[in-house]
Amino acid sequence: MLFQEKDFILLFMPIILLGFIISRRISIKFILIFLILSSASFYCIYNIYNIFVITTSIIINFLLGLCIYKYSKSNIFIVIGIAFNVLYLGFFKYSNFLIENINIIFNKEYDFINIELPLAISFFTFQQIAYLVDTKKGSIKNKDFTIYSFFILFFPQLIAGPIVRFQQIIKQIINPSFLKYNSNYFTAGFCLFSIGMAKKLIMADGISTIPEGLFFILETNRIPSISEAWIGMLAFALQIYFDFSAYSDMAIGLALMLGIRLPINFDSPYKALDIVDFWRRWHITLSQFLRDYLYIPLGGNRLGKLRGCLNALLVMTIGGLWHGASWTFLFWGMFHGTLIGLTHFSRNLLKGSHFSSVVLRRIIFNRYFLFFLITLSWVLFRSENFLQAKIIYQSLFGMNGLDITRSFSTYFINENIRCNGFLPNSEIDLTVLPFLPLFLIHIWYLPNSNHLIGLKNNIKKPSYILQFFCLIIFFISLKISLEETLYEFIYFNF
Amino acid sequence: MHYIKIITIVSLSLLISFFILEITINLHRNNHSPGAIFSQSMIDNKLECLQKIEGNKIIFIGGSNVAYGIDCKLVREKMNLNAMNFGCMVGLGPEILFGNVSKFLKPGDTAVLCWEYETYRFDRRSQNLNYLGMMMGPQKDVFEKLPLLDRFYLKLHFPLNLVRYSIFSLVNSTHDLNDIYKCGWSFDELGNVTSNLGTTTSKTDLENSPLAPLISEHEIHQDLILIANKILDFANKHKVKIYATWPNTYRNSSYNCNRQVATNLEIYKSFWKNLGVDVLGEPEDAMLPEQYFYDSVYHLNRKGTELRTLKLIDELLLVQ
Repeated sequence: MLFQEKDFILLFMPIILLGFIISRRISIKFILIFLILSSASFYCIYNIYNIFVITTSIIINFLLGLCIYKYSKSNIFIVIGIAFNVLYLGFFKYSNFLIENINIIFNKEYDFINIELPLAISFFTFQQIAYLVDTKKGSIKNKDFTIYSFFILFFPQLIAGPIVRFQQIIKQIINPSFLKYNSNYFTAGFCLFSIGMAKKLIMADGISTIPEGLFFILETNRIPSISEAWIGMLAFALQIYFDFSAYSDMAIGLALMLGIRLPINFDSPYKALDIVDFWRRWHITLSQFLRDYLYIPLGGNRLGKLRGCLNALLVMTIGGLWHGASWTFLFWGMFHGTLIGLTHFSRNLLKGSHFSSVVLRRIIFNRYFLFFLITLSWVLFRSENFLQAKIIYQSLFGMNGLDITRSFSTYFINENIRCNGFLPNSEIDLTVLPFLPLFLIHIWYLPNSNHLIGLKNNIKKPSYILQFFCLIIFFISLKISLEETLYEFIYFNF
Repeated sequence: MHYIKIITIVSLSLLISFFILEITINLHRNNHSPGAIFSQSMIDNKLECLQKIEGNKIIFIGGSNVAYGIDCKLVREKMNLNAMNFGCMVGLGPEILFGNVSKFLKPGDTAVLCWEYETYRFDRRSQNLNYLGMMMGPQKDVFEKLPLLDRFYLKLHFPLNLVRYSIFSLVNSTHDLNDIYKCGWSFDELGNVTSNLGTTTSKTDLENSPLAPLISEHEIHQDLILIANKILDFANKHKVKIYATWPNTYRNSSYNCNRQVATNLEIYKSFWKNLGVDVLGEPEDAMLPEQYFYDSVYHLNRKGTELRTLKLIDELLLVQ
């Protein structure tokens, strides 16, 4: 069940909200149990067998957490805990990737393991590693299994983040005000959910036909033209932006309606001036996790500038691989790691010189150039293999010829696109093109949903005008959700 | 006071949302999406051909299996009767197809309903983009005749993204419908497809495309029964003879000894039997091997069309 699906909006969400209102009159424990059961059933809808995977992980990590807490001076349990989580994730996510590479390198024919990637495994594993490490540091002293299960299973953040820290949740649920109806939270949450739904159904899914068209050209063993490659990748950059932004808004909005404030996960990343700033805005909770539990333990930049750059490269490579078991993801991470290293390097270089600093800032450190670089990196992210990525890069830079005729000419192979140029090209949907500049204006210049709802400060009730606007887009989005085709969130695959 | 404000805001926003939906549908009604224009131009051209036919005639009505499966020239020669191939697209549904043909049916005429198996799954409320685009576009007359609840439901399912195609059509208003029709499929004056020479598909492709309405479980929806009854009422009133026949399709190896296929075929046979419609031949008669197919499991090549048509003529001669 997807957040934007009619079954979720018209059935699951009202039941949860009603159950939440009723259980709030009883006790905090009752609310938690109700939300745990609801979250588990939400998770089961995708695949009932996955519930065993997540339950096993929760039980083992909770027990390990208890051991770490009890034997705080010993390092053995934290080592076991981290190793268990890494191996657990590795088994489900990377086994077949490993077998595939062993087969290629050693010319073997080992069979692939018949396992399906359990939904959200990357997210709940990272969340639990953070829990164990924080318990070891002494910042968590939890013995309550219900609270722990709730922390992992809470459905708005379960599938695709934000990656929440235990401390962020516990503070809120032990507060007596959790039992009181907070109309500010509810209204703000609903508005945020509606904005997210519109972003997903109207914007992200609306332009998804363009990148799909580009990759259809590749899947059918054809070469995209320069215009098809640029339009396709530009559209993908916007699609993934709106898709992930939508999920974050919907997750935070849902949690707010249930009286819980989740951390901001997305903050207009394409407004960033450089790559470091970008990662402070894109998937914020993942960046913070990688910083706190990987980059800083590796030494961060305390061991010299070069070591700092190497650490950034390593962390981003792991971050890339976290997204998926594929070399393209690994190289996508390396690409970002290299950019971060280069940014740190050039920042140091610019420290003394005012003139070059201003010039470079104008030329390199601006949102447009960064968007260009990020769009280039999405090629690796979206491609299924290196061959696809190579062909797209070649097309982007005109190395497959400067043929722009296929997109705009009046004669096409497909019957739907041959009609004297009247009918749009079925691969690159030309009717969506006018939306691309509008979306670019949106991502660069308009205020984001965090700003509109006031997520960065104390949450206030949105104005009546905003509520009115959000209700309209909610009803329109609900209408779209009644239509046949609904697309999954891109981050559901991780 | 607080609740009154909330109720006012919710009602007003709901009203505006419906207003936006109505505007979008109206925009599409006046500026059809290319898919709807394409389908309508095909219907228009076939109706134009139909209009030219004088005297009694036999019309084969269905989706592309008819267009790519029945040779009306051969029917005309062998049966000495005017014939018209009204094979368009399966997605248009039986009421749009028959509704258009019915304007030209006269007493003494014969209509052969040759529905693809997908048509037996017809349910107005879960129809495709093509159907919705047609109903809230060129076929608005058919739409207006539907029950109020169905109209409301179809409106709710109208794909909002068609609005961008409507805008596209509005800007590109200089197109020639005839060009669109001609460049799509090549038809002759009797509505037969003429481009289906040779074979462009492989046995593997055909084997990999078993028909879902044959291999999966389902029941016939009430909508289809109502539509079929309306067709029969019309036929009785206008003294038009109605026959049904089976669509030409690939004889997939997975159909052999498949209990679900047998059950579904029995359901389809009972459907016609309950309606009192004579059925020409058996489903297996219209299932052919791979060498007779052009580009899909429903599209025959010239050789296949000839074989299929001769078989159908024999069956028609038997009942007439």
